[in-house]
Amino acid sequence: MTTSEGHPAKGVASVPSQAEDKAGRGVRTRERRFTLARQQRIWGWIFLSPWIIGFLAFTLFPMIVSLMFSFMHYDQTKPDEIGFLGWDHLFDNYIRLTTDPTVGQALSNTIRFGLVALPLSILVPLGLAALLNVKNLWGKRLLRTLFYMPYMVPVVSSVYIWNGFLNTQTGWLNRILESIGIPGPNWLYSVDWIYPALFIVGLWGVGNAMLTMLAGMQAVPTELYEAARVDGAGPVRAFWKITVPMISPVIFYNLILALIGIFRYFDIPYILTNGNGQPGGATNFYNIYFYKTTFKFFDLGYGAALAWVLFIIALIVTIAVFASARYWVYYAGDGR
Amino acid sequence: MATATRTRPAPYVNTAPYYFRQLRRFGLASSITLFAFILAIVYLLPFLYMTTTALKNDDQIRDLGVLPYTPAVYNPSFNYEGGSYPIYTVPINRQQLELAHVRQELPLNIFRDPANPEAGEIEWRGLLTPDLLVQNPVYEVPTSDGSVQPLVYMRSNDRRTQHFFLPIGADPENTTLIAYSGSLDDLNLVSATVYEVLTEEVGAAQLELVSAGIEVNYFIDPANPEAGEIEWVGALDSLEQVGYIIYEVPMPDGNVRNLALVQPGRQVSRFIDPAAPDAGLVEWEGNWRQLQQSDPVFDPTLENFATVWTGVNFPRLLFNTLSIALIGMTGTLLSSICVAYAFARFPIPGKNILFIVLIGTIILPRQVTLVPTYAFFSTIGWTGTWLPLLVPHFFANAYNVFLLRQYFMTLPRELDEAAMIDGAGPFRVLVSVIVPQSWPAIVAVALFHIVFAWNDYFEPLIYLLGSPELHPISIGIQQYNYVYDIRRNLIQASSLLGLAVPVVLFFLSQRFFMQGVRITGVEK
Repeated sequence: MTTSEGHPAKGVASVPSQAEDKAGRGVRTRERRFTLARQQRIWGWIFLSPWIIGFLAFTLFPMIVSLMFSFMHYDQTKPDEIGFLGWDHLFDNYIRLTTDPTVGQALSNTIRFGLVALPLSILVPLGLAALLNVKNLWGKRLLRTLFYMPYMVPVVSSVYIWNGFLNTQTGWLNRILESIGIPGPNWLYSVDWIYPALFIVGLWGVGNAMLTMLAGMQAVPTELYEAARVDGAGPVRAFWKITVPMISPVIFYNLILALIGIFRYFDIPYILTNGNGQPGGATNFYNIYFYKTTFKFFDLGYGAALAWVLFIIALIVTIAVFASARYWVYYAGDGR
Repeated sequence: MATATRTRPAPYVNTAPYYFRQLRRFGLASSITLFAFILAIVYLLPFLYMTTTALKNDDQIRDLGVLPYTPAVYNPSFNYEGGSYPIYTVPINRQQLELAHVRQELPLNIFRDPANPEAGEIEWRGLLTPDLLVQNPVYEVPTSDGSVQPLVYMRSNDRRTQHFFLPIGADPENTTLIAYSGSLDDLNLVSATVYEVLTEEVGAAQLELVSAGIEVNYFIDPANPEAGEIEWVGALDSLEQVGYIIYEVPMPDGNVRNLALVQPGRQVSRFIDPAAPDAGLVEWEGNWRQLQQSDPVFDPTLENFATVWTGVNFPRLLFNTLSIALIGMTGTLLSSICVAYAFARFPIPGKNILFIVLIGTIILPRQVTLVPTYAFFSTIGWTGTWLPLLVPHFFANAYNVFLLRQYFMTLPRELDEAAMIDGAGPFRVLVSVIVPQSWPAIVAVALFHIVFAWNDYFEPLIYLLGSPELHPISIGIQQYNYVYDIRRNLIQASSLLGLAVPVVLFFLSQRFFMQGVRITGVEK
């Protein structure tokens, strides 16, 4: 702190116009204030410029171009045929998409996966955070670190670790199940068990959500719990009636992140199966099909159409979640 | 909550005596703690699996034990006419027979001297071991773009259904192998394998292999040695020597004997005594799975790490990952601090809308912008370089701007105003007032970026396709495990190498991580 106070002082000495300013004070006050506000605004735009440029160059412009691509025949393996589809065939890429059975499969896989993964990615961290927030628990800091740590593990490593751990014959999970008399399933190679396996692999990704929820819980005023206790509420009731509503903004934030995660779901199934969709096409998720279309078959026009359909779906779902927020998300200082 | 006032139940008042309450609280605390720690152990069990598997050698992998123990094994041998012969499992007529190995006939290989092709064929009897190999064969291979190219054969996968090739003269360390599915016999051989061998005719020379001979081994059946030698064509290395794991077997008379398990069974198992192998089989009633192995040797190996380290060229991957992470980190810090400062302190018209747009970019699916961005980078020739992974980070990112802005908002404005009255410009205020107060948030952003860059898989995958010398750790490990081996110990060793840096970084700077998560997650 001492240095931060020292530097400006040094800076003052080197400002040459200081004497002039002193002399002019009181005479040109209004003008000065006007220019100061203007100057401040200009500086604001200067500091903002990296993001403005980045937003135009890497978000807005690509979005427009991507929309254009989706109305083009743009197959990089056939460079002679690249061009506008023509007004008669404007929606050819989108029509192809509705008749492509792989798109239907990829969408239904993503939805079926998401319908379970989304609640899990909220409930599991919520449960862990509630456990770590118990007043009588010893070793909270250590436990918090242990539960958060797998979140730091790179996806490539974590997929290989779980791949070995879930192996049907040699994996520890099946051998533990076997030792208590349950025949372990064929986790990674059976259509029925691959999603549960993916949910288990996904468990290592809850650290961040858990930590934010825990921080939210610690910020809940203790008077509320005392009041509830006086009113005769047990700990379970207090959790659902006080804790959960009080941290609902954090839950909402994590719900949005989890939703984006499902639309982007790629790394884990891709590394696990090298993108071949096994078993039985169950791991052919939307983003994997998009990746293959664009970067394996180099059909950028069709890929752009796939991306825009996903964008519209994501937009509708996100708007729906935001619209639902006012029914269940509770902001303590409502005025904000 | 409103109805609670009407039918309010009796307040919860604990009337139990003091010591009883203390005891109860202690019991509750210890049982919850126990539960939490058991849960943590279950949650982290795969780490234990990874570590112990990475420390095992190939024999220990087969044994399925938790720790890398080498069991004590009894290798029976067959004594016949003064000689002692080791016993192997030999596949003959689709049967696995246990036969005693008597003698070996080395293969007769036929070579041609490329320097003197007229000299005719040169014979050499011996095993063609890898250390004699000078050059792999070259085949004409059909590639994915439809052309047929001469490529150097490198290796096959374990089922020999896929074969991997390299362009002639390419450095195997830095080039992606080209996969070909199908039989090698269908391919046209351009030049043969070259070995360096010592022959009587030409001395030590590099010779082209015309045809490799086959090793012949001779066995006798211990059950019927009089029947004579049984010929088996094939390499002795490919056979497995018979070995029985030695267990501590409690005998009915109360003694514990060290016996080698020959025939495992659930009710009755049969053992052989290594001290007296001629005494025949010892029968024991009970489940052999409950027996303890006798004196297993705890024998962890670090060899897997060495294999992976050189196999993936880990120092180079580490250098690449660190460079990408640190350059990107510099970029994102410089830009995000400026942008967050603008959002936190300056009266920009429409600031709220801009901020909503910024946060909105978090929700935008990456795929929408990816196709044109990729096409753009590929047109200006940036694919196959790090630039697409680095340059966008110099233009700020919503998560980081949000985190920093939230932190800057909590700083008192009085200090900046004091500095401004003293004549400091906005840039000076940022550098001398805001940044020195914001180290916790800045360090958190830096750490998050490093972890992000370390874990990023998708972008390096698409932008660095075909440039393995630029690959980061994530891609390097995945390619290695895909192309090379399916040995579990190597895969787990590679996983451990991949996660080491971020996990150690996390343990060293936990405080900043936690604070960063808290700022982004809870504030609003």
